Amino acid sequence: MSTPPDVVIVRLRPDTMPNVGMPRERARELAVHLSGKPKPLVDFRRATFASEAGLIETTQVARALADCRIVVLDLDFPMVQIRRGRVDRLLADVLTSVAHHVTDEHRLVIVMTEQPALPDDIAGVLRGPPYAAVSAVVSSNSEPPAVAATWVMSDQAIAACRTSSDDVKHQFAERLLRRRGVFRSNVSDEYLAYHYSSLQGDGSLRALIEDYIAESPSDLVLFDKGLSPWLGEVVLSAAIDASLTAATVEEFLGRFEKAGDRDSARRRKKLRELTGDPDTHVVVILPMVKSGRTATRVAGELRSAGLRYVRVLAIMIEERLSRGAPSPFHLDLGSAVIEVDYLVEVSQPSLDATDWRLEAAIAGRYVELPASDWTSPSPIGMWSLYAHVGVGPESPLPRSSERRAFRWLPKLRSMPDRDAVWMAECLVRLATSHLGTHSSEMVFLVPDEQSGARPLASALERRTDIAVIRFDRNDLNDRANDSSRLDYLSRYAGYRIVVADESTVSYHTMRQFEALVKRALNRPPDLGVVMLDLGSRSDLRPSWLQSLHNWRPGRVVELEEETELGVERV
Amino acid sequence: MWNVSDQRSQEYAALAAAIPRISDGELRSAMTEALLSFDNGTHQAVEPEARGFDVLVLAVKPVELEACLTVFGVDRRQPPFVIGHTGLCGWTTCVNGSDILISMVGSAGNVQTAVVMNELKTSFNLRCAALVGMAAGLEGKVSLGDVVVAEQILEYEFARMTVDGPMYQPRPTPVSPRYLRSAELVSRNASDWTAKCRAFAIEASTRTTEASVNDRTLGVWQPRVHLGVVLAGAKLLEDGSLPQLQLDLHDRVRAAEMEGAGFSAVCEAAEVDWMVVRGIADFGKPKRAKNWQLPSTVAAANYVRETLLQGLAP
Repeated sequence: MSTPPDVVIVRLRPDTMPNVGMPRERARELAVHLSGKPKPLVDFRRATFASEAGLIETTQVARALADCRIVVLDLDFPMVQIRRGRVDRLLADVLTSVAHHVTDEHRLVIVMTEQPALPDDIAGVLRGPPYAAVSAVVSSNSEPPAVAATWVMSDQAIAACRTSSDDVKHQFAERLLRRRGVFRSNVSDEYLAYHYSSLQGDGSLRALIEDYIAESPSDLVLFDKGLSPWLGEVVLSAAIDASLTAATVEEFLGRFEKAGDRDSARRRKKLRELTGDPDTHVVVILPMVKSGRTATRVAGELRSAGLRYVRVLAIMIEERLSRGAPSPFHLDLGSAVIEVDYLVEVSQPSLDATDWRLEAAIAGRYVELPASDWTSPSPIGMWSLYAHVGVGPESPLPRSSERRAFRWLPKLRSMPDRDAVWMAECLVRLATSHLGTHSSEMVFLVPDEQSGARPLASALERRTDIAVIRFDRNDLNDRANDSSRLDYLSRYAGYRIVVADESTVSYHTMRQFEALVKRALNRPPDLGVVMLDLGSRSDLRPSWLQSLHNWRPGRVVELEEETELGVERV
Repeated sequence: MWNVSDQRSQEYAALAAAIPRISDGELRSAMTEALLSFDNGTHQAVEPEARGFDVLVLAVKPVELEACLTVFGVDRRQPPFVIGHTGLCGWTTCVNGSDILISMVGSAGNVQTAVVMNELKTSFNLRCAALVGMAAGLEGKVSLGDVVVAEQILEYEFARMTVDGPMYQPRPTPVSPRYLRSAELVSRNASDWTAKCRAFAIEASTRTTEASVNDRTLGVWQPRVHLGVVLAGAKLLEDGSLPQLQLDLHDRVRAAEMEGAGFSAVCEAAEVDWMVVRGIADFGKPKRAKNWQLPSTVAAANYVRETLLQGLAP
């Protein structure tokens, strides 16, 4: 007979949100501090209870409560998801249904991004019996973690609930948006192959900046927007929350945009006071350290002004510059050595005049300026992606297809994760602009396959602001599973339904999804979005389908011909 | 040539500009096919209506193409049109009433040039073709930046290999005398020959990163025009053997290159008048510098332009 575990950590989540909740190492740390046992001896069980049919199996939560006295309910996903109502109600229902399993002996730790507010259903449940007597609600996103508890929880256990800086850094790096195209630098004469920005709705950058500012005494935050207009708002809000003065590097160097502006005059005076005091602690935040020129210039100016305490944080650093050196990185510029902390290593090559991307962008007028209000990828960006993943004969053909393979198609299955994040963002923006609603009001239906890479679907799932449901592509016609699928889909009646796929030729999958959604919700999908619409039959094309890029594949090939070339026979 | 106004035209122009720069054959084919798909009755400007040209100016490498486009006044932002299904691109212009087609082989070699020339000849009616580019020159007879107009192409690598060494059996292809009679007068008749060459070279340099040319690097450059035999083979000479080849093959040898034989063979077969004009970029010695590639090709292209302006060619 097996002994019960010391701690059970139950991650409650709908299966449309697979990337939420505390990582395993943090869960182990928490179990150690709650049980009081050393790490090698602690016996903890970690379970995720979610299913396509029932979202969360309440019976298994009840079993955890029956097995163990210390139970952690991991609800550590963005509060915006809870506030949307569906998740809030769902979690409140789960807690209500298992309440009779909770005894006075239990110690419940409920980890949430932030403390629930009174209008939330879950807040009402936790304030009532039996939870009010035995539960501790810990906010994972605040520093130090806020606790609402009726029993004493150790400081170490509370600290272990907090999302670690490394977790957030990893999240930020994973979601960093890299657009392909040709971008004109506004700080130099260069043309760049990529534009990086923080993903809309991703709060991890702000959390990282707040952490960095709080790490040691800070009085003044200087930031350089450079190619990254998105950075200013994040830095300003983080600085305001920390009650610090923030200014741009240009302001510090004396180039105010509006010299006569009263607000500028006040800030200039404050800035002068702070930079005139050698004891002022300055944090310099740069979006990208590529050559080190800006970092050197700003650090040099601050040093020559007599300031002794200067820290530099680069959101991104050119990987050729850092060469894999860990953060903080010492930037040796001959005349000086600057210590630079950084969050992500990226590649940001400049395009030379003979690069085909630049030639094409100039000829087609596709040179872009850094901006956050872009709506779609440029054809140069798309062709750059195709050049990266390679083009070749279509292989394998879809199982249901009776046509011949196309001679040239991009190998989208080998799309890198970084590009998949970009494509997912493009599809979300396409859907947002067509439907005129916020992405949190949409649910994306994505075909799934048993084999092959699924970079686009995975990238969509990594976002926290949309719900994604996968259905097996080869199983869409299987009526045996229909009732559970229809029941599941019917929960999303109030959402805008968007079908997303990498490409479509015959519109077969789109039509299958259409039939499924009609059976479940009595209406067609609101929109279909694909990277490539390769179809030639306008009579088959759904009216609700939109694509990022038009590609009309002309030639087809005989499969035997491709076999001779070493292409796998379909 | 066409109005880049709507999205389709924009992407068409972008593809057309990109294709000549793509080295990946698969990608280039895919882009060419995508570009051709635009020509579905909606894009009338895919190829010029007139399918005949007075002069074809054929370059081999991108740096030579830049030189030709600059000298013939083609706006580099003007997208090329695509010829056939091989990714071959063309630009058009007009000089002194002659319709000019400018194109590029893309890679060195007599066979490669013959293939491209055949494609061009099949696609268009051509009255005259000029192969314009760079070559290694015979030191002492020509200077860096000079122009050699071929009076004969000598395909020199045919040989019988014997125990006593190679017995060369070169195959000559002579140029029509009517393009040679006044060749050495072209630069003298042009009042601003040197100034034009210098200005074109500096302008072309701003359009490519492959060369950095300015008044200082050009020094006292005054390109001269020479008539001579041009050797054409598969070898890139970097061993200083050109003087020996002159002794072995023909005393009129002035330059050596790698495309003239393929080019002239197709022209002869198709009964197209032809000329080969080469700028001297180096002397075929070890550690050859590349800084004269662009200026010397500019001078060669300017020679062709002047023959048109002076009415010495169609």
